[in-house]
Amino acid sequence: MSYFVGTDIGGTFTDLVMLSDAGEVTIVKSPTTPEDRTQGVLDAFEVAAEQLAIPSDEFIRDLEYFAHGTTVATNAFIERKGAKTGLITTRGFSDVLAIQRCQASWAGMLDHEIAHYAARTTPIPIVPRDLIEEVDERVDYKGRVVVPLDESRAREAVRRLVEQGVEAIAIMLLWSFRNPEHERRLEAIVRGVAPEMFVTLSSTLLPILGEYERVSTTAVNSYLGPVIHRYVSGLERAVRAPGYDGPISIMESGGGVLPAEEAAFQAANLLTSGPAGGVLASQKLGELLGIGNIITTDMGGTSFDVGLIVDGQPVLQNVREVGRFHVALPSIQVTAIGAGGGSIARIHAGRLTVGPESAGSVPGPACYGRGGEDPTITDADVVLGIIDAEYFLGGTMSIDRVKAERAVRRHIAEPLGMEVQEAAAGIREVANNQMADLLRRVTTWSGHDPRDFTIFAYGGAGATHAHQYGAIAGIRRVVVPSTAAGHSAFGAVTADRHRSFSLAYGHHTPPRFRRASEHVDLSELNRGFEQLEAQCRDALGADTRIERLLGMRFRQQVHEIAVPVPGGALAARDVDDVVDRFQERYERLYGEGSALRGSGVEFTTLRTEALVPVARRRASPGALRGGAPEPGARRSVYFYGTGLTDTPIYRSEGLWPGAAIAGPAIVEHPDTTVVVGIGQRLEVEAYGNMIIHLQG
Amino acid sequence: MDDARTPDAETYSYDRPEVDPVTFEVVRHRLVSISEEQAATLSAISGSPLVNDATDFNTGIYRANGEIVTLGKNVLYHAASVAEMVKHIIADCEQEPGFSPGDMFMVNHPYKGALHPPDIGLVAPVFHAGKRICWIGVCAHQISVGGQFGPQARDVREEGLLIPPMKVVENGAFRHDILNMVLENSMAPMNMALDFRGFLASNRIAQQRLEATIDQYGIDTVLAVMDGSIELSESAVRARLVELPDGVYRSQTYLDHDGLENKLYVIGLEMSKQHDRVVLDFSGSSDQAPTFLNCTRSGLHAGIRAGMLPVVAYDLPWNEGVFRPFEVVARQGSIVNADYPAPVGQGPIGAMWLVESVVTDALSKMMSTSGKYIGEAQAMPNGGPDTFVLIGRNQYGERNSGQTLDQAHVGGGAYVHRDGLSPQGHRHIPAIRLQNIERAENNSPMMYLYRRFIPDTAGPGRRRGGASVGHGYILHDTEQMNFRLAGHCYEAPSGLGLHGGYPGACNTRRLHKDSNVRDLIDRGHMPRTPEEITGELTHYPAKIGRPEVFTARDVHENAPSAGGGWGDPIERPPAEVAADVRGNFVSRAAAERLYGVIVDRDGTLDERRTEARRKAIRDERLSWQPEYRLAGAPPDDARGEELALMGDGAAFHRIQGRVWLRCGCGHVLSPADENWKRYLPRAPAEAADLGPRITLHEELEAIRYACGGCGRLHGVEVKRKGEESLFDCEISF
Repeated sequence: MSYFVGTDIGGTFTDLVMLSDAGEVTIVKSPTTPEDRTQGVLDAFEVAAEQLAIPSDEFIRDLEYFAHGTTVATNAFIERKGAKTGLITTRGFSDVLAIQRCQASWAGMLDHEIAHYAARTTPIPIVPRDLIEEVDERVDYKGRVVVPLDESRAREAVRRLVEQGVEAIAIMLLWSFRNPEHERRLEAIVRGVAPEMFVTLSSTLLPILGEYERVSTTAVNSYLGPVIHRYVSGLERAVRAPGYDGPISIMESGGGVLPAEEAAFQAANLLTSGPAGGVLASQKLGELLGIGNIITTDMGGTSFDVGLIVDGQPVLQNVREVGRFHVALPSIQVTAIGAGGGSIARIHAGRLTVGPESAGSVPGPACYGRGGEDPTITDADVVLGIIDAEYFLGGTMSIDRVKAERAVRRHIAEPLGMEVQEAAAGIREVANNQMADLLRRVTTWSGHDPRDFTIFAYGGAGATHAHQYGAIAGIRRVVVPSTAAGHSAFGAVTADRHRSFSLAYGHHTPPRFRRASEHVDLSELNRGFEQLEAQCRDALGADTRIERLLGMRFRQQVHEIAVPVPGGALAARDVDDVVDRFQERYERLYGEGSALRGSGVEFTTLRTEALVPVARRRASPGALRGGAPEPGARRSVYFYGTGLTDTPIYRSEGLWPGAAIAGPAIVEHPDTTVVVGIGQRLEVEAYGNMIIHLQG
Repeated sequence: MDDARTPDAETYSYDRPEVDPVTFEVVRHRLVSISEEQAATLSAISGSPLVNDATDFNTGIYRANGEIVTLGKNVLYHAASVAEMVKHIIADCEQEPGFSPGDMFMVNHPYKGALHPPDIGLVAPVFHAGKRICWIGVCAHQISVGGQFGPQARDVREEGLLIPPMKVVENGAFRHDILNMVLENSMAPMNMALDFRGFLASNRIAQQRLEATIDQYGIDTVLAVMDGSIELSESAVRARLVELPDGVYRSQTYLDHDGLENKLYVIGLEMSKQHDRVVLDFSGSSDQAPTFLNCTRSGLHAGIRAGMLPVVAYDLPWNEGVFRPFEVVARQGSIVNADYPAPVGQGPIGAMWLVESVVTDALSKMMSTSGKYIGEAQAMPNGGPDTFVLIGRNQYGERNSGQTLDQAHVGGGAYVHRDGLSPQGHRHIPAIRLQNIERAENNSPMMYLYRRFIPDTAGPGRRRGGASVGHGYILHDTEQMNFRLAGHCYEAPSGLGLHGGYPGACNTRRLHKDSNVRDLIDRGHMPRTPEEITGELTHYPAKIGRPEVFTARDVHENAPSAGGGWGDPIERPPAEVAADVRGNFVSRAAAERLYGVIVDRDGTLDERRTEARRKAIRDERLSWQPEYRLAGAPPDDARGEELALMGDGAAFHRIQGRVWLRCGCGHVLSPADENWKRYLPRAPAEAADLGPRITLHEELEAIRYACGGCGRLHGVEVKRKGEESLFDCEISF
């Protein structure tokens, strides 16, 4: 027997998902080891091997495939523990990275933080000013050299950086995406001075217009590259040592996994790969279940992360904020608010508020008994009888119901003159409504109606709250994946191998153009796509599935979208078709009549997305067997608006494909508690996923 | 602020039910979420950089008579626009044509709610059971409403098409004939049409969502939450006011140049706080100007609200309640409350800007009397941006469009606990995003020489202001363009410091005519500092009457104004000043002259000479003379009871029955009931004493006030020569 294995390192646990020859899915967990995260992965292998009653080394040696998701990049970035990085840029523009298009004082902050001016700050720099070197050179908007690169002074600049002990260098010159020659010369100069230096060129990593996004992304990539290199090498050694010689993949944030040897060069792409993994796992599961429109909701300890899958495709974003800087590599869009199990309830200026402040895991909710005094959403769930204090995390963690009650009573119930359970239900209601408001906002922003979607609920608290935030948002169906407990690891092992390549293409039509094709250089376009496709095949092999995209915007407008382009040599007619399709797509996203065609169209980027599916066994469906399972217990659970209700309690291991349960009910799982509301209905489908029908 | 809360036969009256706190918060959050969805709808459809990047728009829900229920965190000036429009729509249209479901009204008339003609609003009444319950509205800055922008306009009717409250949507659809008339008046009709489409869609979506909320929770509950939210914010602000000492807090600043002559206008505020209410009296402001720098009453409210929100409501829901404890007094016909038809085109970056500044300053002086609230007090933001428009054909032979917003990269005002933000951007735009240079060069025939922090823009202080970002550029792929320019804070520093902090820089724009730039480029070098550039140097005044010529041999440079400092600069830790010198935020010369810190050429701090320099500065200050000598003051070591702070460098103490202002060193400065500035040793400052980026108008002077005991600087005042110093913190004990 051999296995496909995906691992994912979370804040508390390292998850491992294994898929067997027979399509069986097994999830195991082991505590994360922050000092050396690879150890946690090996521990998880150990746990898995133990379950199979084979030696861990043998298990690893016989793996067929190994994919890994990690927060190493995110942690190193947020904590500013990246490599000492130097930056080389065009003379006159060394402050561009610090100025951040004037977003320095608010980028990556939440709304309420932005409103509190006195508490605003600018971010800790990733490259200090004394490690930024300017070089004499200038290229103009057409890619023409205005001032040639002064190579001898550039070499001096590189030497100064090397003398200061930089481990990585980022190179971003103005207009390099239209003419990368100077950046390439600089790279050669760096290589001449310091052959081992980690170097990122903006024109290679992201050949797009916008010097701030380019310098930010390039600097982040160099800052994290050596960290990822060390980490991935260590991981590789650890799994190669027992003799594994199959592929190793690393989860990225753009829609797949990267070959491990590419990870360091795409380090900026690893940021936010965790949330992306959850969305990808949902996409794959959606394919299996025949569900194309999905809102993914990951409710953990501190935040509520929402992603969107439309017609089977995750919604991407061009730019994301991470660690208060911007990364402009296309990535799976995940929007978060501060609503998780640890979110604190307060009375502020006469109002009951929940979050965004969180008790985190230390001290954590009051019921953890680790010194937390503030009532949290988890405390409310305990007070209401939704979470069984005796069976939290499958009974592995003790929960103090008295402390939860005291916190809710003292801080919420008494000041508002309410009963303690009434107050706890209120905390839940406020939080669930905030989450529902976010679901609505995320879907309408992308031009969709939330009622056309199915929620996938995961994370420690997702299944506990989805029955309610889903219902409030008008959604009919919630899927609680059977892999919910290791959803990101499942995403890693099932995701396709993916690379994305792009090329700048700066052409535009005049206002009130007749035919767009009259204003583009067709041969340049075709050459560009051929070059990109060759890059794709180089990276992922000849059998790569390649999608071509053309980035476009209306001139004087800010929204830029990528439109699929047919394969093969493009003719003038194809270009005109693409422009029509751009307009259709634009109007679908931003509303009928929103396309400002008369102002002209700008073509910005050629992009290819290369995908190679991982050849793994599909899970096989179980035989559906009807019938209602017997509850293991009953207890009084307090539901908002109804009050104490006698509620049957089930254990997930006692359910089978086809089993149906009428709400109110609670299904306890070692990793989460699934709530079925009054009038709702739960069924277990053929692959063991739970589906809650919110409207009965 | 003077809201008309009169009962009205047309509005829905209800018996207010008790709403439990859970439902209350759920519905309140829903209402905020509706406004956000409304904003997202507009951003998406409009696609315009003014809406999406500059966030120069607002959306919101307003009660039946215009009280703000929700307010987006966009350009804060719009806290007044739609709300004021609603009041004028009611006044002008309630009888004729009247209000019906499906109607929407358009307004851009600055004397009827808009801030200046480019701000067009679209507002819809919302009904329940045939009675008006509230309004939903949106307003966004337009690229063009026709007319002319500049000092040549002497009448608001020359500044663009004026739309008084006018019904443009009937039964949910635009009246196309009317819409076409409006569009015909714009130079950018396509963009305007798109914004209008966004307006309609965003009001519709808000209306649908609001109706669904009413269906779910009931009309009375929803209205009770609207009114209750307003009241909660109101009572939170009032409670805050009660905690602060009663008294009169004053602030003033000057606007230079009206486009005709380099004349000064004062924006003067006397803010009286009694118990839980405040009167903001602008009677001390100048008469209105003949040109476009005035603001109307809506503009005055906009400036006040923008000043107020981040200082007193930083943690509260933003709605009408925040403003209710404040009463506004302003003389009709003054620069802050102009008489129709005075021109107001530049109001938002003219009089309105400085209203925000003086309100921020007076409130901050009040907040900094309290140990609890001192952390929310801030020095004034930058003095004001200018308008800079390049006119001509771009490199593609098309009409060059739009104006640069580079000058919005400004440093913020300092706080007691931190420096101003470098950069913050305009204070009343909580989340601004400005253009990449590559985008600018792609759209306009310009080539930038630099985008960098400009040394000595930040107002010096123990906590300095934020540094502003300057730009230099030349023309590229064209031989000549013309430009227009209009601003202020060129010779009147109006980003003033607090508690001994210095003002931030004045704006500068200059042109190196027939420079050596092309020769430098041909020799393989792009200049980035003025020292490298030769050519006839022209410094521009705040406003120029007619377009100026800019040729391919010229270099244009702009360094914007910046926020003021906090506290005495010679108390800034020397290591921080040295870091500022190395980071090019402060020049070595200014470090020595203003901060008393000696930094060697290689950036290292000379501690010994710094100590000596700082002592010399203190000694010099101790030789200054006060206007009045203090007789019978208690000794420096007298025991006193602290009653209130004046910043973190001085405090009011009761000593044997009388209240005195006392320096942190113990030295008694003045009696609390008299203007402390008259008793402190003082000296006028030359412009150079204020730093290399300050220019002083010939009618202005800057006076520094120091403690006679220890030499600590307590104030840097900019005022008209010969006038009394301003008694800025008159607390009633």
